[in-house]
Amino acid sequence: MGFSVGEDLFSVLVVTGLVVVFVAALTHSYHVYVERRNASEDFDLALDIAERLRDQVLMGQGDQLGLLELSHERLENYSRILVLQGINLRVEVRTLEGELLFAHGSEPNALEGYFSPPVGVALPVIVAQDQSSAAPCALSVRVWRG
Amino acid sequence: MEERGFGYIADMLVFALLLSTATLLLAGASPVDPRADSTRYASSFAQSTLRSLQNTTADQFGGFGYEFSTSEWGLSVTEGSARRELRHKTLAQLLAEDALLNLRVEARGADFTLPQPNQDMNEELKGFLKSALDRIIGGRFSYRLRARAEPIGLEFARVHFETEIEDLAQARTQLCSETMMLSLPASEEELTRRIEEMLDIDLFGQDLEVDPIIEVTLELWSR
Repeated sequence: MGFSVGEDLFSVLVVTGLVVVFVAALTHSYHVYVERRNASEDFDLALDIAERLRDQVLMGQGDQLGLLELSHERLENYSRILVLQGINLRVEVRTLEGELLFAHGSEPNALEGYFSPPVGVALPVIVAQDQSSAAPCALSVRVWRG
Repeated sequence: MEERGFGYIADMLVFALLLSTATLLLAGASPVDPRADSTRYASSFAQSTLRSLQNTTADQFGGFGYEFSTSEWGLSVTEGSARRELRHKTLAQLLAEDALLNLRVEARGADFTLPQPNQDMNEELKGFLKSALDRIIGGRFSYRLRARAEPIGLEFARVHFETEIEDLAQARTQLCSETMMLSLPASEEELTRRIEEMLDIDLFGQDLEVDPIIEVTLELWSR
């Protein structure tokens, strides 16, 4: 190409720099777009899992909708199925005052959290305590891919 | 600058323009509708809340009780004995009982409640349910809980029940509305007899459509 050293080369450098900035902006926008899509998909997944825990996995023996019976064994079996699909699960049940009643699954570590930020949902549930009493609690489900 | 140099810079500028258009389109485009996610979550949350009302006893929220209005009935009772404690009833059972005990009458365009010994239950229960819902929903959403019984049409009046508990001070848009049906703790015959007693009339032989069911609807609103 017939450029002359001086202002022509400077113009080319400026325009090239401009293109690089625009490419970086485009990459960033795409990253944000993908992150939003993944967050939405993960939120749907977390909600699906929370509903399944509420309506099937942890449902009390009387098949009373909304009444939960906490069981590590049932959760362990369900978590294994999710792990096979590359999904990690942390379940917590807290009283309405925030006191932790039950927890299952490990917390996401920093590295896992960086690549797939955990997404969580919380639903109000009733937890059976003994034959005659039940307490209002919050079922919190966090999922992340690993 | 030579012509080729101009061409090169012009190409780069056009390319940069295309890139910026693509960036703007990507930044503006949302892969999903965020409202759809909130609506789905709110709907599931409302279902859970309604189920909680069916399974939680009043005891879990500090217990519920009210005083019979004895003075209006000219009754003299020992102090404290007119108090009715309903600690072991679920919140849904309390709503159903309130509907049965506090039926309203609409006649000639006026809506009124006939004086009854249990009339204080309605206001007390509204306050109690509001504090329970505030705790269950925990400030995530604004809400409106509405319970209503199908109106029973008589020749001269309409007997119905409707109560509403809401916290819509910070409400923006309605996200969902979920409904559950509750049976009143009375059969059709008992409900007819109750209306007869309440209005002091005889409904024998009248073809009444009495449905001892109340509809409880919970609306959740974004904040």
